[in-house]
Amino acid sequence: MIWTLFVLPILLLVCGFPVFLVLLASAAISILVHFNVPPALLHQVVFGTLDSFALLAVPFFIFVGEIMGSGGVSRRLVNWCDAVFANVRGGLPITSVAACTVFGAISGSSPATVAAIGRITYRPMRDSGYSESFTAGLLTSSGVIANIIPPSVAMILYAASAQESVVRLFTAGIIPGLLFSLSFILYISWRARKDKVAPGRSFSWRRVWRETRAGALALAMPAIILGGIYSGMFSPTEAAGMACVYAIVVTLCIYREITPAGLFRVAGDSAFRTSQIMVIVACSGVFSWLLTTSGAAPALVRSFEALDLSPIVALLLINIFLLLVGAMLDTASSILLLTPLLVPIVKALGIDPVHFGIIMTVNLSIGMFTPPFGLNIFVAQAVFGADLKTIYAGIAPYILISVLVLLVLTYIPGLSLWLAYL
Amino acid sequence: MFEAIAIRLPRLLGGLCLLAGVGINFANIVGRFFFGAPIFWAEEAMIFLVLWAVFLTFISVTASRAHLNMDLFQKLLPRRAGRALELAGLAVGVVAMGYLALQSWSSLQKLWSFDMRSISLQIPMVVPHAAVLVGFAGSAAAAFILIWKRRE
Repeated sequence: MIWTLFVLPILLLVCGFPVFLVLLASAAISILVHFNVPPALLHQVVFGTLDSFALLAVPFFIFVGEIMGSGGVSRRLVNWCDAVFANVRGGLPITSVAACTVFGAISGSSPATVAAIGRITYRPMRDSGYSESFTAGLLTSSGVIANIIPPSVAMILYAASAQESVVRLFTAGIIPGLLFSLSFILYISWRARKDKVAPGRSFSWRRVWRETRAGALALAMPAIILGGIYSGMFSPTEAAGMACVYAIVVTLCIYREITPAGLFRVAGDSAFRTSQIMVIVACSGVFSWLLTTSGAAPALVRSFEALDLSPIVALLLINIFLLLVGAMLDTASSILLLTPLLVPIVKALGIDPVHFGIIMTVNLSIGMFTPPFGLNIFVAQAVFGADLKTIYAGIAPYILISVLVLLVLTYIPGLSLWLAYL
Repeated sequence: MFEAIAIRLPRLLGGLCLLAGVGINFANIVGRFFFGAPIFWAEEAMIFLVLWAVFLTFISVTASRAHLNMDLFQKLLPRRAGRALELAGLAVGVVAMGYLALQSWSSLQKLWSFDMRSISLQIPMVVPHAAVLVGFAGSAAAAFILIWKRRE
């Protein structure tokens, strides 16, 4: 049983097999070889895993992100942030971080944020004299904020996998997301002072007012999503669906930057991206079921307990492990593969699963821009046309900052849990 | 031909299912807040539509070879070895997905014989469950064609 549930998946994963296939093949072989259950159970569990209202939020949030990227919403968000931070030293890079934060509060997808915001702010930053390495590094790293600040697709998947409340996880992600944003902005300010960067242009209330009016409908989106969820008006799934309708109306009828034919294309693209994730969700359901019924998960917990590690050391080891995994595998697959294994361990250590959800999301999000294989790096390479060496050099300081923030979040649970249990 | 049937068509149909799901969600919220009459079958319909969207587009993802994977080590291998591994992945995919499709078929037969119906919509449960069969059978076929095309 050990080899079909632990060794085989690792082997297939290393061979580069699709993640859904790794889970499906391992589960099918385990059922055939070790378990005395009817194989038709495979179908039942695959269907049953996706037969969930909470998981509907995933395609809807992906759809919102795609519409925003194509329909002019991101450009208006950037213009507004630029007006607000106009006279600050390092105003343009700070604008990029702020725009990633606002965009992340709507879309919840890190690569989509890098592509959408990066496309708009990369050229102006380069024209203002910021080096290629600094610009590409900043934009590649800032995408991490979208994964942490609610709504977050990663948190929905964790919640589904760990049987936790999506709303509680979203609430727990607010302070960590803002902390990332703030730490990046502080670093940029320090760097701008050190490099004696002159402020871009003078601040003007008139311009702020103009951009606020121009972008009011785009700026209202986070309020609709998060306000609707936290006021109890909508469930996260309903809020995501409402955001889709709002984004369609705004981009199709008001901004007119997307055509009806374009909308169908975007819907098809979203369904495609949804399928890439949800098929893994479906197959991970079978895998988790086998882990539970076989007693493998409790056995793993007992082995971990036998090591007699303090929660501090255990969390440090888990952080290192997750950072490594995150640099090699995408966030969704990592969460779905590892949550059923790690949550019982952290529960046994007395760590709150909501807090751990934040730790896991942050770790894997950092992995998204960690060399050599973080997904955002390749998105940045495709969008900016910068070579990998330049991007690697640019993201180095942000990795350091992110790891420091991660340690703060790991060892001060209150930062995540204070709002969640308010 | 392969691209139109295995990539573009499922993507289009998947997109339509997603749009229909968004529309039902909106109608349900409007019904609840403005008319005091939520659509009682909305939740079930949305789940079934997204299930179909996922499994239809699954065929397209397989045919485009766009599944998420960890290709870290595969990229380090010599070209021929990398290709052989990719081919092996497709072959394992055909077997595993074909096996799941067979299990789906047997489950569908049982659901059909018991005339199982959904709670709210009262439609035969074969309808949503068939998405799994269509997705995995279609994907297995797409993977098989990809192997076949390699031979040529």
